[in-house]
Amino acid sequence: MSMEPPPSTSNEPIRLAKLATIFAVIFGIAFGLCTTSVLTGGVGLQGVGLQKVLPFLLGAFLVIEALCLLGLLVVGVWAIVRFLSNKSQN
Amino acid sequence: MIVSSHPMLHPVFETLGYTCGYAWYRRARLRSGDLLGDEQRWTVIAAAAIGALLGSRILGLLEQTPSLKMTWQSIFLPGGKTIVGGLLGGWLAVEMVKRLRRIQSRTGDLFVIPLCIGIAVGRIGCFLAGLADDTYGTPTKLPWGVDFGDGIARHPTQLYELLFLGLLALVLNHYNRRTHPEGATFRLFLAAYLAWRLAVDFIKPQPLVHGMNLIQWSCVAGLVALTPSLFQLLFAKDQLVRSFE
Repeated sequence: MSMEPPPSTSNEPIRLAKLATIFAVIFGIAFGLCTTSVLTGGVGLQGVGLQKVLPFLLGAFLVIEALCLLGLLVVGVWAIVRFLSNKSQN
Repeated sequence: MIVSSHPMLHPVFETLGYTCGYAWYRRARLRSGDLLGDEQRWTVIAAAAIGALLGSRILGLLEQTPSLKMTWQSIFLPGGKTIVGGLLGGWLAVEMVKRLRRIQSRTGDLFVIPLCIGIAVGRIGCFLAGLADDTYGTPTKLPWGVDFGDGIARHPTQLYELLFLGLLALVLNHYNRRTHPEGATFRLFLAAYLAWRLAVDFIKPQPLVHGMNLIQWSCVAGLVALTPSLFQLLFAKDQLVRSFE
């Protein structure tokens, strides 16, 4: 008598949810860093002579925010498509 | 007491708060188990994270509405975030996802102690950020008033909150170990934190709308929304009972 293998559960929803969480947390941190950089106006960087890099830092934080936002949108659309296709199958 | 502060410390402690909270959540889940499977739990976490992000930013913006001109792009510009907005946004998003995914269980109990720890660590950052962070209190002549560098002694409201959260974590951790209705710890945490913020924000110099700031009005809205659930907790007899650890 052969035994049926247990139904394989897909890890995709977990991966999607983990990705969404990571994007949201990184967005939050980048947003905080961006705000702090604007507030300090590079005060924290004077000692190391890096005040000129402030615009680049701000730009980098904004790019990170934009990438995270894009990532969240992609994950969101992916999750919705998956949800709808599962619903139509059921 | 004079404190030398720097705004750069805020994101450092904010990140540390997320890390400590997540580490504690993992430990608690390993030790006491979980009502939800991995997929449902991660869905709830993702919803909470996104809802918290949106809620904290939107309320952070609204809080400044009396003094700033808002446009829809303002949400992406540098500015404040608020914990109350994060909690309410996260709670709302989780409830929406639970309905969509037909998750019946209460899901918040595991997050309570991690939230207390995360917020408390983050508040150290708020305190060390000084006047750049809008979380300091009104001027005071009390001996523990803190001068953040402008020569005025103020209520260290961030430290008051740190103490409150430490006490709340102890009480709720003790409660969580006893047999209790499913989801009760989270509801008690949320009610206690919203009530605390409603009270402590009276000694913060924020723009007022009809006698209270917008964070306080949000706390009132949150407490009103939570009231039926708290009544259910007190009076309903046929509740699922959960005992951790």
